[in-house]
Amino acid sequence: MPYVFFKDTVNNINPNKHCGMIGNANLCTESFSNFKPSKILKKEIDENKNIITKTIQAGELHCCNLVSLNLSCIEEHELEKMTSLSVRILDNTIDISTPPVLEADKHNNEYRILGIGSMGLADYLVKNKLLYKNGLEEIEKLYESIAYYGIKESVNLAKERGVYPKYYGSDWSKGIIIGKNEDWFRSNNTYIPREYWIDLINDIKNFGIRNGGLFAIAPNTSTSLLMGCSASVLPVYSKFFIDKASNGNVPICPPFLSKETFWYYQENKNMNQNDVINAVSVIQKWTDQGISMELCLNLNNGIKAKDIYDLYLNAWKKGCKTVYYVRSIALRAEFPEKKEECVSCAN
Amino acid sequence: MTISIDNLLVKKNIFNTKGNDDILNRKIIKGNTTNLFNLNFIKYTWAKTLYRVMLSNFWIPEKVDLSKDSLDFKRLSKDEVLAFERIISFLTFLDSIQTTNIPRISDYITAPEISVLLAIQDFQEVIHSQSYAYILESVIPADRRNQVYELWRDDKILLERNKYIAEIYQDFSNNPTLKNFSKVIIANYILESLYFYNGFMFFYNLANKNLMLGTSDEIRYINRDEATHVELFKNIIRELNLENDNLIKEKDVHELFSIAVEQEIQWTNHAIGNNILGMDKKNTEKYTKYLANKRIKDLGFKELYSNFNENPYSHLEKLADNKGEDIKSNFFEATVTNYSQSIAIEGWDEI
Repeated sequence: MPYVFFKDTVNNINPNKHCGMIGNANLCTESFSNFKPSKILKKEIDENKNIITKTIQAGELHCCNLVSLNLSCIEEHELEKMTSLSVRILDNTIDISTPPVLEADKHNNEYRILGIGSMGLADYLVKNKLLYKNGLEEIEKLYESIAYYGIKESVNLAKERGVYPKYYGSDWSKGIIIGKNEDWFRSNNTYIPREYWIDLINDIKNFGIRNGGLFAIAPNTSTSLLMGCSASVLPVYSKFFIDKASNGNVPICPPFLSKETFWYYQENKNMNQNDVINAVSVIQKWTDQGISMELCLNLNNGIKAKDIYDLYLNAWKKGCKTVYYVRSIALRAEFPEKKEECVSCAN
Repeated sequence: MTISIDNLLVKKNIFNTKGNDDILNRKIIKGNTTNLFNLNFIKYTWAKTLYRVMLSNFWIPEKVDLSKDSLDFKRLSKDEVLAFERIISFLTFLDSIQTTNIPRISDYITAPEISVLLAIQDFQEVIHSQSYAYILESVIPADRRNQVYELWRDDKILLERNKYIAEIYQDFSNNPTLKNFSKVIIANYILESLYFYNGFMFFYNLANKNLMLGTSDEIRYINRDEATHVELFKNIIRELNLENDNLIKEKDVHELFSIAVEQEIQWTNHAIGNNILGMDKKNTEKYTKYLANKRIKDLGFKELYSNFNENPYSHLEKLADNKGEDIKSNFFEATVTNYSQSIAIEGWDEI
């Protein structure tokens, strides 16, 4: 059951709702912004030259400009530098690349939407001896920091290069950061000191911001294999599994697996999926676009239709914007009486 | 020798108005069934679970893309090609006669919930034969195909081997005594649980080298079905023994298995031998005896071969994804083989 997109949540927090709405996401459901189809207004034939000319009212087409921070190897003190660098890399990418579709090119120049994501969160947690369940504070701290550093750098870019053309009237211009205004920051506790956030809001008001959107967490299923880390922000599928892609079967073990870390690597196939939803919802709080959340249902654990329904509903209630994909582990022929106790549940 | 009437099984009636479907009266053989199928009213509760699993495993051979396999096939070594042809031919033949044999057993089964499972099994054997044909026709050049189809009787060792199992099937069909029934049930269990597996390992071994990946997807689907067939016959044997004073005897299981193991090793040495990278005669013996031990112990009997309890091909079995959770497929790029149909999930009315 793939690609579920909670349109209400997405549009409520859309920083550019002043000039459009978001009808859909990309396939992996993490990257999105205002979208509008083009309209053909007029077709004219010049019979002498044998040429047809179309007059088209320009629509808007979101373009994914993605990069991912590899959390398995970024040290805490490098996080600001790496996040800032990511903002610059992607902002430059918009200038030096040309999407093949005109609507996307136009959209790119008007909104300058970036998608800074991350991979290796599972490894990061293991390194810090945390589980998804008890690591929520650390996860929030991490993603709040990435949001803060990223937005700060986009403001710096605005000072150097100017704001994105559709900036005026946006949530950003009203001092709203990922759906949170100054009042919110005054009445809620944050990991980045409150004054820093309020200063940043004032900076945005004064200098504007270079990018209409900054954060999107892609699935990185294949890229993470090349990088040698776990995919995206999800728990590892299994401590040892075979990744099957078009070029063959690759045996995969998480990078920091050892006797000491063995119990910290939680396997998605054995986890309560609400733990995954909780972690993703904490990340979503600081991610202005989406997160490719993949859930995994082991049908041998007596999953009923209602459980699936409840997962989707819980994801929506907790503020997740999309559910990328629900993977299932098929029913086995052997009967429960013979089932071995799984290693991760024993934790 | 005369056969006492007690030892002769009688085919069940199709239309039996005097039948008694009461659960207390229900028996796997020699019962008095009306043949009415009612999943809410069953004696063997495992049959209901198995029914769901078997149905939710539904798949279609052509949904696996074999276009890359036909390119890979040209990269196989001479010995790999030969082994490939022999194994495909062998598997096609076995699943073909299995399709004919299963209904003959079912004729004597008087528990509707089990007859139903045999019908699904029979259907799946058809899919398997067809998928072997699909593989064969996708990768083997047209001028060679018929020869490969006919290998089952042109290859002397293969013929000898097929004869053994087929004759047990034929004997029961000709002469449905209890003794022959017991043999045919054990033979079925052996066929489903032992005969295919060195062949399967050959394909997983190719996949381990990133060759013939589509073929290994097909095999994985088949393997998943076979696991349900093994489970079915294991349960039939267990229930038969409870109801019929240990009809299936350890002695008979050991005897049939030891011949089967010998033939499996001989055949695999002939088809695969020592000329395929990743497999050899020593491991064939180890694997076959390991598997036989496991299957015999699953029935609750004593193992046949001491010192053969280690699986030399556990790395290949990982590719078989027997538990359905060892392989994570990139669904944009490769066939996902461990899905279930939505029927696997119950409780839609609770939403």
